[in-house]
Amino acid sequence: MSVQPVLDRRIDEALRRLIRPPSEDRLRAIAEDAVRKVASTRRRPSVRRRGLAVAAAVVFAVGGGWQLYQALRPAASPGGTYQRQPWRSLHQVYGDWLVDGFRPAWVCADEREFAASFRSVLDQGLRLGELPAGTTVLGLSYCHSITPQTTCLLARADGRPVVVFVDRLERDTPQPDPPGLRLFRRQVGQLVLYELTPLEEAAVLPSFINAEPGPPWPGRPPAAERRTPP
Amino acid sequence: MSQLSPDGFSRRFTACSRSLWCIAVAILGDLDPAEDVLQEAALTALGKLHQFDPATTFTAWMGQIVRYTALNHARRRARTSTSVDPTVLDETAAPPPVAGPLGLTGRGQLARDQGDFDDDVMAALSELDHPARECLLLRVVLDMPYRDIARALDLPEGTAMSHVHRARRLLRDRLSTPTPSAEVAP
Repeated sequence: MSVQPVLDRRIDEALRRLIRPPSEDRLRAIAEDAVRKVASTRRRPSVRRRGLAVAAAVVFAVGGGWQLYQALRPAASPGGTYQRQPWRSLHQVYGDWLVDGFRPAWVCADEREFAASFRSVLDQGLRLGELPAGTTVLGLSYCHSITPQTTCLLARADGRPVVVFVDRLERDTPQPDPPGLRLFRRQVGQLVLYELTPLEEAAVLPSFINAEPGPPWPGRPPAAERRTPP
Repeated sequence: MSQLSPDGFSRRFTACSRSLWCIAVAILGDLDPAEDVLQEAALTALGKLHQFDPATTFTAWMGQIVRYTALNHARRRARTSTSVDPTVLDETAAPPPVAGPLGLTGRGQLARDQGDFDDDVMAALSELDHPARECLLLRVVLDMPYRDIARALDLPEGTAMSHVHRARRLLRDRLSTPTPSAEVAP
């Protein structure tokens, strides 16, 4: 007789014994507490909140003046593809996008637009070769991570959200290990690419191809370099 | 798109809270802070109710928030887990309570008579990656059908199934091989 079902049963019993969810009442209390806290915060603005409101009004007034100045003065440069964003680490950006529904800023209509999106900002176009089964590209977004010009590709691999951050190679900076995720790095021409993923392997990174004219691609691009230990 | 009311949120949250708790435990590798993480995630979600699309799965949306909150919690804990303050070091010089690889400290979670097998199960569990651990806990601890696991984690059903099968195989391999500590035990 095979020992497999017996061992499986022992494992299941141990897991059920060791990992017991809290009672339903306790879990309901968590939701009700949260609702109550939010409701009371909305009803009674704290002194701190009022202070913040005053500060916001001042900032708004000063900002309005600045906006007016910007509107009246001649444009310095046409750029402006990016809205100025505060700096966030790759991991923070990933987390924020998850909470916000993991939606790209836009979806490119075709390969040409995709290449042009990178070229216009990073001076080098990119294409995507064949993607592994189960991997879907959602679209592009921007963030201020490696630099304010970091361009990002959002994808799903095996149903899990994956982000590829792209920037100029000469602006690359050491990236800290992301907790609970894996970071893979690759260079394509003059660009550096990081894939942040919950999966064991990079799903999208190996499929990126330099879209600029040059010597023919020698074949399958090299596998991505793993940056984080399993 | 009509926004979910706080009461509606409370009902839906409670309905899937056991799944959310399992997701938190799978990410944290610890039972103790899971309820705090759920509370923090509920507060975050209440502030973002306008972003929830009622046409989508509430558990999957909430699960993402729990996952992110748990990852943040784990990161904060990693930052504060070592102390260089001599006073604190003195206070913590006493032998710590026996903690399993998932941080189970015997504060009500572990039976007194737990054997080596339980320890080995928890050690093997901690070697799995997050997705596999989430799928396995939902399947085994909550006895969830694969279809529901897939919906809760926003995964294809086949992927959820393969995560569970792979996790089971890894646990089997790990637990059917004698560990070094077991070999030297009297």
